[in-house]
Amino acid sequence: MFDRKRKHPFAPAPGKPVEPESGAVTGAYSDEELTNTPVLDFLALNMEKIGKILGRNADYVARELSLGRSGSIAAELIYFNNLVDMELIEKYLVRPLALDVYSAGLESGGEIVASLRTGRLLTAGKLKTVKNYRDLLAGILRGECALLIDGLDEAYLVNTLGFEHRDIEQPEVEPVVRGPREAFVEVLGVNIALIRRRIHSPNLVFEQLELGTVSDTAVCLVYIRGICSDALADEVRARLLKIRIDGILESSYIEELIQDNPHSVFPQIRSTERPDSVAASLLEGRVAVLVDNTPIALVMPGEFFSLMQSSEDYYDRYWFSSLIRLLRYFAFTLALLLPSLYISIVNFHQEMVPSSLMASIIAARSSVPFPAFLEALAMEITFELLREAGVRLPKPVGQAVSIVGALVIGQAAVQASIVSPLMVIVVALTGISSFCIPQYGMALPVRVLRFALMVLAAMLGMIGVMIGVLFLMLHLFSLESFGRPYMAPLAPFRAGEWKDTVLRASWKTLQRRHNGRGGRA
Amino acid sequence: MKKIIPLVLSLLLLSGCWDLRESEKLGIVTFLGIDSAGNGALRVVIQELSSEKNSLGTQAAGGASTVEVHEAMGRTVTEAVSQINNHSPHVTDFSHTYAIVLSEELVSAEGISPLLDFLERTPSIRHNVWLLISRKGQFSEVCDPEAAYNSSVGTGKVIMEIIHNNQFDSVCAASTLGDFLNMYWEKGAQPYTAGVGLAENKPDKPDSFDIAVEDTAVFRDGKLAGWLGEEETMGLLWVKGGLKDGIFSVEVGGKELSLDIVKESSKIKPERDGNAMRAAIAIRAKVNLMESQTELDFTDAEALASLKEAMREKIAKQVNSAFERSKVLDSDVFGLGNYFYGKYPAFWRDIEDKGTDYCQLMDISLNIVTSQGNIGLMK
Repeated sequence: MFDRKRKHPFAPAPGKPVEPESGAVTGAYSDEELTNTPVLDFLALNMEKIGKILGRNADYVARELSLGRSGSIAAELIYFNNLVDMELIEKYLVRPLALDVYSAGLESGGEIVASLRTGRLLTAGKLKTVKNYRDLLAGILRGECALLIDGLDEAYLVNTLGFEHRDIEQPEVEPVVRGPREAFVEVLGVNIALIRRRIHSPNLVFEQLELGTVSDTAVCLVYIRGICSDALADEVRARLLKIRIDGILESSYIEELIQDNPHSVFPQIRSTERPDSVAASLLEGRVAVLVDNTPIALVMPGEFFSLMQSSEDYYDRYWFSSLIRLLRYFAFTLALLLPSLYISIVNFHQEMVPSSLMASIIAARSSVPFPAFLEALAMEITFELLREAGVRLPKPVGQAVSIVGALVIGQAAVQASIVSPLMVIVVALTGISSFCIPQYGMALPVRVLRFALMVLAAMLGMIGVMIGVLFLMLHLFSLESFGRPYMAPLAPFRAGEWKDTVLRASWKTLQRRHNGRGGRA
Repeated sequence: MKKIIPLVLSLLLLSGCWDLRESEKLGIVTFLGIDSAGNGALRVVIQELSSEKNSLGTQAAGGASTVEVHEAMGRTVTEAVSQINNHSPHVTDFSHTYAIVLSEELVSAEGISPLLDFLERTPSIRHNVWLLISRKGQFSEVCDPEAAYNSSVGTGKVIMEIIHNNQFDSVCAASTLGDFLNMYWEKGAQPYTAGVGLAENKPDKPDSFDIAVEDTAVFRDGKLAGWLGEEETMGLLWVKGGLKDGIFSVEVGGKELSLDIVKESSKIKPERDGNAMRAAIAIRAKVNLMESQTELDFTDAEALASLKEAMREKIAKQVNSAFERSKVLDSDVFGLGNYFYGKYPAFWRDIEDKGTDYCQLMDISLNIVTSQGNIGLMK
């Protein structure tokens, strides 16, 4: 009664309106043109048009149906093969239209269409009626199944999404000892569910926008009405809508396009793969942005102190968390300054260290042929090389890098008197310290600025380092993230918010909300 | 921006690396000794950290840094130091110097002011380095780390360790360069510092010596006036401070007691009657009982009273002997004149104008209060 045929541009079924194109790429279809093209009430013309637009694709499927035993009406199901779940199509479209109608007493095609239009026939969860080609094609391209019926100037889109995707896995970039073990995946719907499961509030809003003129990527603006200030949500939405770009393949595109100072080395938006971290930020009154196909959510405003926090800070006892946070700021300073301090002390300020340490420095350096700056530079670059290689290498080969690294840096270089053992300690300490920064994005500026400070240290010693730090401070204190000063609450100084910055106060203290800006200031 | 970049670059590149000194090219001086070489010349001895390493690039076993000794003559200290630089691969750096020793011969004949000029004018010499005077004829031995105390860690380090130890046992009046300079420049005071010499030879090792920091070199008008002995040094320190944690022995009933000084303070009040000057010195001392060879029961009030009385007598005796000695040396080492300068400026100006030798007009009265803290767990 209905036949199933896969339409392929190079094997067109007879009678199908697929034009055998010559291989030359025809002109692209603009959004405007498609919006202005209505769905016609003549199925053959519709199919010809759709075939022209999509017909060349390998995964394009058009399935013919005829509705009714008497006075049958032609219909077509259109979908992309690998985006849909065939079972759902069977269940929600084919069965109701081809079998269930008869048990319901509907015989003729006219009756079936009439019943369909009153909404009584199809029981799929998400059913949409579209009137123009833009919406129709957008639906098909998203993975919905379109039903076109001869004689109707509209089409039905049924959500039959069923593509393969990664399961929810453990967070890899932000692991915790105590806390939930779920990370975002690439599918927006799954990510929304992960957040929705944590906050059962009617005020939790997921506003969907489509960004990317070609990619048409779904982007979700998330906030809690009443906790998040309207101004903030409006600002984020406005900035998102201003984006003009062909495609958004990763949330970092958006991060770069909407942050306040796109040229700063410091991230001004927090990115996280943890749904619990996003939920906590929403409860603080922040706005999150989820991007389809990205397992990383963006949280804004992202000021300095929020970028130095780990979600585990809130799961451990607050005494411990506070100490860990202090340690983290110490590590941040160390990772930024240690090599430049080493250079300035060894080259300029020999009087600053205890005499016995000076004796060790001299003894260690006496057979090293390079000046301290070159020594430090070479070692830091070697370390960066090893780190980069470790990230890029396929996992099975990764071990080789660590062995070579340990041997080359750790032992051979020292034995060959190319670097001093002290320098190895400095580099190792710097590396370990930079790993203590919980936000990967926050460790990157440290890695960059470290080299700038090393150059300054080699030129002017401690004065140079201080000049560098001074300019760094000026930059940091002049940054803003979505209306919030980057270094708040340090500058402008807000004593009330200090209970959750460098230290973490107990939940008893933190649970009070102030300024209507969230429970975790 | 077009103007700023070249500006910043020229600032960095033109001024950069100005003071750059690689550490391994420095000779870190831990000890500086200055002696007279006759004919107005100076003999300068320095000990600098040696950078000898074994072939593996690690430091010699044990981690002890050894020192190299360099010596040169010159008409000024700077000249001698530059001589040393000429025959040493390193550039001398004084920022890690522990101790400076001047020979008694030099400071009693030539005076100390030309040396202080060098020490004060050289920015890398710190004011917290110990400044000591070597006993007559012992300068060379003190400066030779091999002969003295048979060790290679360097005289500077040894002297520093001894002085730090002394805060826990014995008594020494060592001054840092900064303190010494302060006393030197102050009105109505004369500088002092400890002497450094050789301890008595061990009979079985006639060639090796121990270094001893003892006695007090007292200056007058920039020259060494003489020495205070052990008891007199203690008397000086009761007034000038610096006895805390020191050990103090008194005799009660013919038996010795050792006391640990836990608190000690002094207050000086200048009093004038015509030309007679009297300094009322109030001393308070609190001690813990460390060791008793007597049969006294210190839970008994009478025994305690006798202990306190013995302490009072001993302190008075020490202070008085120091004061008498300072009168003999004609040096106001207690700095009493300074109090008169503060309280009676007109009177002091008169003394200064006339160049009066006020030391001989000075008298002291003592008011000593002693107390005891912990007497230990034994009766």
